[in-house]
Amino acid sequence: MLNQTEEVQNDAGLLAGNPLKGKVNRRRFLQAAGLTAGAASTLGLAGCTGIIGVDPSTGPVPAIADVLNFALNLEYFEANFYAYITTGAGLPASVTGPGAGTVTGGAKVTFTDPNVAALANQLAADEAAHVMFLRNGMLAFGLTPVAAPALNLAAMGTPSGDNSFLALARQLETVGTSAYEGGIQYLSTNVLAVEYAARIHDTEGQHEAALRQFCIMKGVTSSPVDQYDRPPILSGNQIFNTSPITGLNTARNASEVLQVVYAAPGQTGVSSGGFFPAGLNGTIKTT
Amino acid sequence: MPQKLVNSPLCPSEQVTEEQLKTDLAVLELDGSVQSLNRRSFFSSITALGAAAAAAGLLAYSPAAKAQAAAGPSIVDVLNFALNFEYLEANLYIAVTGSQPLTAYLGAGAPTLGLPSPISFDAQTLATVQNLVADETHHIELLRAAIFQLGGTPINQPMIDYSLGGKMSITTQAQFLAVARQFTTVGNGAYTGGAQYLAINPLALTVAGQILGAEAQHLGGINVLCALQGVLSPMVDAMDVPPVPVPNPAYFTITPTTTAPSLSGGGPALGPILTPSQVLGIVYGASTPATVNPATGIASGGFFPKGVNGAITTT
Repeated sequence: MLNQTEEVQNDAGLLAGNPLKGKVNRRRFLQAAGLTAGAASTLGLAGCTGIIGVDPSTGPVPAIADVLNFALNLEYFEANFYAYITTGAGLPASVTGPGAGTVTGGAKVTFTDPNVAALANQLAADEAAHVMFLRNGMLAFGLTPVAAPALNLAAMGTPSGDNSFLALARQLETVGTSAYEGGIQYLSTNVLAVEYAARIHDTEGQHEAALRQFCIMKGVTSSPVDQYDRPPILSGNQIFNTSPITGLNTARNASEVLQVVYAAPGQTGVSSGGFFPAGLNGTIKTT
Repeated sequence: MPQKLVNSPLCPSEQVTEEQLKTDLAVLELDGSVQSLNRRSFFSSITALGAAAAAAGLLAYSPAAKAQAAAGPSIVDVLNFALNFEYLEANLYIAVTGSQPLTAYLGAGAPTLGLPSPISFDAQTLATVQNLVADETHHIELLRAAIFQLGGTPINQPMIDYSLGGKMSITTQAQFLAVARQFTTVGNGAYTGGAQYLAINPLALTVAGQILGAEAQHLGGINVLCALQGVLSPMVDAMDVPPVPVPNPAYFTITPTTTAPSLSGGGPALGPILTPSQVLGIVYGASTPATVNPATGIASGGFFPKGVNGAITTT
């Protein structure tokens, strides 16, 4: 494994003859030049401070099974969240795997607006479907899906009605969507996995925007979950969670996702907390 | 004539062309995904390093991925294909909001016909369409910059006829939402359908994934407006799942299959996917709500009287 100096030298060599010149990880050059996030902002590279997050592990490339299990953990979480809100009960044992963790903090919500109730029901159905699809898909690939982890669904409060449900669901859905974008690159050796991940990701993006439209319609505000989050506002550039510079959705790497769901912003080496009192199951579980 | 140079926001001591500036801005924003790129998987996407990467035990592309890369359209071809539909969407959204037209990417002989006049929207719909304008314009810039960076040439906008030869007019919010919903469904399907051809380049895949994330949001956002406003948006083909209006709304365009049951007995809740051929069948006006695969050999029609631009033009 190359050390950082060797890797930077490799990059320099690559830039010379590389058609992707200019796109190769310019941030590494800033780091190698000794520019910290703080120094970068002093130099007027204001954009950098908002996006240099905690470095992900520089260990081996995650295996496809690890990436899919990471996604599966998040789907278990979302599916249980919506299952409790809509029915007062979690996912059945038949779809959570042997040794599934205890789920606490879930509670049924009585909705006032039937259109919000319909939204919650459809979100619940879709996330449960994703759980089953990912599990069945992994088994079909000869991979082993992890069981559902222990969950504390009340880690960011307990929704009590339409508006509090919309606010919290909006916050959580953006994390799930960004996780797929951060992770899809690691599936690239299997085109079928890429295709299915892209389609699940598509549904999550639809979910995210639907929640945002409802929040805007009802004047529901929700605070940002981290520095990358763009809560919905009735304005021409924040209806969607898309960058005003690139028009792109947010991508979060595993560490950034975990920092949100573990309630450990800006921290490395954290393996549990927040919604996951015992951490995620599987290999990718530490910030 | 020398290109105008500006200071790079990434490295203040560096001067870049305006085209490169857009890339720098995109890199700044993409840094969140760049930093998550495993360096070795990124390297393995560069052809020249293929052997070294394999020797170092890095990602070994599956035979399927390699076969796909060899037999299918190139990454530049796929990105240019997508660019046609970004032009299609952007011009419509610009026209109905009275925004600044896209004039920079019109090639010779590619007029835009049947553009609607500005529509008086309610506040949330207006804000949504304004956000669509911003996003699609950015996607055009980003795709063009990415294609340049990959050594390709981005296509200019082909001839587009929004009136479908005088058969369609978009004058009301409802008519607009119905068409926008259809365009967005097609765009989503095109990106998910193209992902397999981008898998060989994790950076291209990540960028396309992020564009898809935006387009997926567009679809969900437009679907909700359609559902709550009682707008019917007809199926573009047999696989399409339009939103269902209130009082029993269905908000999501998810294509059920029989692959796996859900708790409620439905499908796996996957978003749309279209082959390039299916995309073209729809936008060329050849597909109906009964169509799964259009007839082959169709190279123009519908919104594209002279066909789309680029290498992928025919069903």
